[in-house]
Amino acid sequence: MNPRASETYVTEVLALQGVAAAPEAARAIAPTLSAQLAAADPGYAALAFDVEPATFLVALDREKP
Amino acid sequence: MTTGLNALTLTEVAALLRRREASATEVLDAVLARARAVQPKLNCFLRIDEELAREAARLADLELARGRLRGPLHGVPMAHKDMYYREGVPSSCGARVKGNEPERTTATALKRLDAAGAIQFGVLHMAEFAYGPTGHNYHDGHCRNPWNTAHVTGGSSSGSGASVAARAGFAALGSDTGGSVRLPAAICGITGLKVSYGRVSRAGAMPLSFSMDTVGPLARTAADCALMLSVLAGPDPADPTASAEPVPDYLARLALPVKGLRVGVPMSYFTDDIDAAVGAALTESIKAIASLGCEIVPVALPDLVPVDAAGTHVIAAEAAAYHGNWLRTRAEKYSPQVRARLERGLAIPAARYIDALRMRGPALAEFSKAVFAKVDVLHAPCIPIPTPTIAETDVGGSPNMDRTLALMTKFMRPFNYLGLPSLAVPCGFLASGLPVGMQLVGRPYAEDAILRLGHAFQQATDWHRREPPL
Repeated sequence: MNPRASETYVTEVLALQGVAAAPEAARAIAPTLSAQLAAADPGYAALAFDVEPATFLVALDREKP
Repeated sequence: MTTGLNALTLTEVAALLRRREASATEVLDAVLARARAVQPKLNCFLRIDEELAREAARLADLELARGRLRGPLHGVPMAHKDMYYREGVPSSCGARVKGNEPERTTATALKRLDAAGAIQFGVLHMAEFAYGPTGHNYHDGHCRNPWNTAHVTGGSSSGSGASVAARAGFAALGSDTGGSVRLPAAICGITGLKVSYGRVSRAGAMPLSFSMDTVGPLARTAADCALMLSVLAGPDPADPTASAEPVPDYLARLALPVKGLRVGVPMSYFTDDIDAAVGAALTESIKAIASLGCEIVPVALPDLVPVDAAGTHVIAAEAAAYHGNWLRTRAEKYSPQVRARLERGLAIPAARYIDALRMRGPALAEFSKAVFAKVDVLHAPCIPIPTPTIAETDVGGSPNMDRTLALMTKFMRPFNYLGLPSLAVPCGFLASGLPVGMQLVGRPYAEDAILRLGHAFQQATDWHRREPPL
C-alpha cells in the first residue's frame, strides 16, 4: 500500500463508517498507517494458516516461571 | 528538598502510620500542603477532594486509636490518574467528549486500595483518553516535568509521574497500554511497574485497548511498587481477563538474593538510536547490576520491528472501536491529535487487526525462547533520547515531532504486545539534570523477579532518592 493510494483509502473508509475526516487529517494519517502496515507485514506473512489469537493466552501460561 | 513526612517512601509512611508515630491527618496535611505548593508549577492534579479526604483521615485515626488496622495502606493519602471510576463521581479521562456523568461503578483497583486503608484525596492529570506519550493535554493544560518545567512529563500517566516525583504523593495508579506507566516514571525519575497482562483487574478502569491495557503503580521505589502490587493483584469476577495465577508475597520476596541472577543485555533493537549520554548512564546501570553478583549475558533478540507495529495496530483498532460512536457524533470535542490517532484505527483493515492478535502468541514464544531460555531478567533502556521539551513535541513545534514521539514509545510497546512485566527504574541523570531510566523485563507473572532486582539496585544506588529542585 503506497502512501498516495492509502490517503484516498483512509478518506473513503472513514466516510463509509460515517466519520468525516478533514483532508489534512487523512494526509497525516495515511503515510503513518502505510509505514506501520509495511513494518508488520513480514510478521503477519510468516503466520501459519491455523494460528488463532487465543494462542497468546496459552503462551503466557506456558512461559511463566 | 522536602523534609519530614513528604520525604518518606510509601513503605516508610505506611509503617509510621501503623506504629501510630504519625496520624493520618498529619500525613494528609503534609501531602495537601505540598500538592498546593507544586500544582501552579506542574499542573499535575485535576481535582483535590480535601473535605472528603479529611473526613476519611479522621476516621482512619479513630480506627487506629481503637486498634483497628484496615490493611497495609491504612491512612495513606493517594491521588490517582483520572480514569479509575468511583461510583457517583465523574471521571474526566482527561477529555471533554465523555461528559460529566457520575460513574456507576467503582474500579476494582480503587476498591482494593480502599480495603487496604488508602485514602483517595484527588485525581491526577493524564493524556486525553490515555492516548498520548508526552503529557500534553489541550483541554486541561499540559502537565510539566518537575525536573525542568519546559520538558514533558511523559504520558499518559503524566500527573502520576509528576506528583509522586514532586513528593506530593507517595504512590499513584497509572495505566500502561504502550508505555504509559514506564514513560512518566522514567522521565520523572521515579519507579513504575507495568504488570503482566491480566495480573491486575482492569474492571472500572477506562479502556483504551482491552488486549493491551494494564493497571500499575508509580512510586518512589521498587519496594513501594511491591507493596502496591500486593494489594492490587489477583483474580476478579468483574474482569474475566484478570489472571487466577497465585499472587506471591512480593514484599517478602524482595529479601531473596539476586546473586547469580542472569541479566540479559540486548544486542539489537534496544541499541538503536541511543543518545551517547543516555547510553553512558545505561552502561553504568549494567555495571551496578553486575556488582550485585548478577551474571550479565548479551542476548540476541528476534526482530521487534514487526512486534512494535503489530502492537500499534491492536491499540489503534481497539481504541477506534471504543470511540467510533463519539467520532461520528461529536468529533469536534476531541483534541485534533487524539482525534487523528483514533481515526487512524478506523482505517486498519479488520483482517490486519486479527493478524496482529494472531501473531501475539508466536511472538511471545519466539521472544521467550531467545531471551528467557538464557536469562532471568532483560535489561533495556526506557527511551533512547534525552527527555524532549513540551514545545518540540507540540503540534508544529518541530519538523522532527513524529520521529521524537516514535522514539519515545519504541522501547515500550513491544512489552505490552508480549504481555510481559517491566519495571522502570531511575538509573542516572544527564548533565541537563533530567533523569534516565532503565527497564527490567521479566517472564509472564514474574513481577517478583524484576521487583527484587530493582530493589537490590536501589539498595546499591541513590538515583531514586534524588528530588526535583522545585
